[in-house]
Amino acid sequence: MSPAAWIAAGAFLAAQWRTAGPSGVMRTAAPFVALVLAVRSGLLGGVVAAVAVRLFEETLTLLGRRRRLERLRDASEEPIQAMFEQASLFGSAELCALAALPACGPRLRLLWQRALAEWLRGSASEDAFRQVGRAHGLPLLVQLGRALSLSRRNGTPLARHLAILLEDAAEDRRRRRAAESQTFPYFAATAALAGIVLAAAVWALAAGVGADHWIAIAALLTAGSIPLATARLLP
Amino acid sequence: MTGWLLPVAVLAWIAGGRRRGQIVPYALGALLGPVALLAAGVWAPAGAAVRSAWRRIGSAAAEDAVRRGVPVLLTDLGMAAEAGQPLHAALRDAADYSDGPLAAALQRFGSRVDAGASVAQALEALRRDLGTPQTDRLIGLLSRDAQLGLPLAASVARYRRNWLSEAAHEADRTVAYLPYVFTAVAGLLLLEGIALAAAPWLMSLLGTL
Repeated sequence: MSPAAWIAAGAFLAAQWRTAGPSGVMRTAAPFVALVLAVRSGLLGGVVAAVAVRLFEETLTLLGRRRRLERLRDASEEPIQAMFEQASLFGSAELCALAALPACGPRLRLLWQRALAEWLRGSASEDAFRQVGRAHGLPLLVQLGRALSLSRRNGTPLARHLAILLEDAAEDRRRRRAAESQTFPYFAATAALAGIVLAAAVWALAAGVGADHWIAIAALLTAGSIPLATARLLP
Repeated sequence: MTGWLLPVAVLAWIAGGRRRGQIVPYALGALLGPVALLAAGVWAPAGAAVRSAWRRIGSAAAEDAVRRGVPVLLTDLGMAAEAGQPLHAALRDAADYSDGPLAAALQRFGSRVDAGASVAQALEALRRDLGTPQTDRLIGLLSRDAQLGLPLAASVARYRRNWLSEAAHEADRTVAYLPYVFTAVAGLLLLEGIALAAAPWLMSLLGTL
């Protein structure tokens, strides 16, 4: 390729990185890598490279999704904490939920607003929060719905239910963090090493060195599949 | 007959695109034939073993889902107890706020109570439904406390603490071996990287010899 083509490809991939992150770059690059390798080293190399890059990209996507969900789960404690603090000031649960809105992060705010809108439109509080929590994998919102429902039906103070909810949520978060801090650095190092081996194997195949063809294919397969398999071991 | 089709196809495919003189694809093709035949010969017993292993994996996954759902259930029961609900009503309502096999078992519990079964009978059936040693013990203790008339809120808070500390011990045991697994995997990848880097040099060395 000419230098201009390299620069154009680099700029395109950088734009992909900005919009879709590393997994977006891999998703875009995979077919081109497969095509180049199929031409340079045969169909088998191309197919295996496409599969390996796809698997590696799936690992990155999985981790990204997991991280976003974890962050959202942790963030969902904040408005409930705010509701707990407001519960002694306001008699109405609706007002508490409304007053807790500024405590939500940008992504959670949308979900919170949606649940609140449903609730104020007339659906029962438990249904509004339960549905939003279920749809987005946020058990705390589901349980908030339960707390609101119990308080409404039995006339018990909302703060008492929220206190139990917050205490249990904090304990769960502590446990999750402890387990993650023990394993994630090892996983990250393994995945980084797999990425390097994957890139080296693609380079070796593209360079067309015949003797290490099978070693490169074996390296592609293991470096592509191992991070995905080990990511599922993470607590 | 079909046992030969795959290796022949693989051999034809690989040989078509490869340089002459490279023996590996041909050796691989020659090996795949007997392996495929052997696989066809042992397919029936192997199939039964695979099916049984699959069932075991399925039931282990269901048990795992139940265990993961229990802390949420206990929080739910804690809140319901705070509102003054009795155990059976709290369990019946909790079905709407749980997921998977735990929600199904709680729904069956509610149906049994609605159909006129006594709470003790329905709890016994729930214990059998959930079927893990940990939930067995938990439901047994909650049922006993309810029969003795002990306050549900205090029982639930105590059992939740116990459950979480047991779960933490179990998670510690599981997590403890993961660094070794990751180190072994990283070692394998490192070896592959070294093999990849050294292959051209090794081949040229073999060529000079």
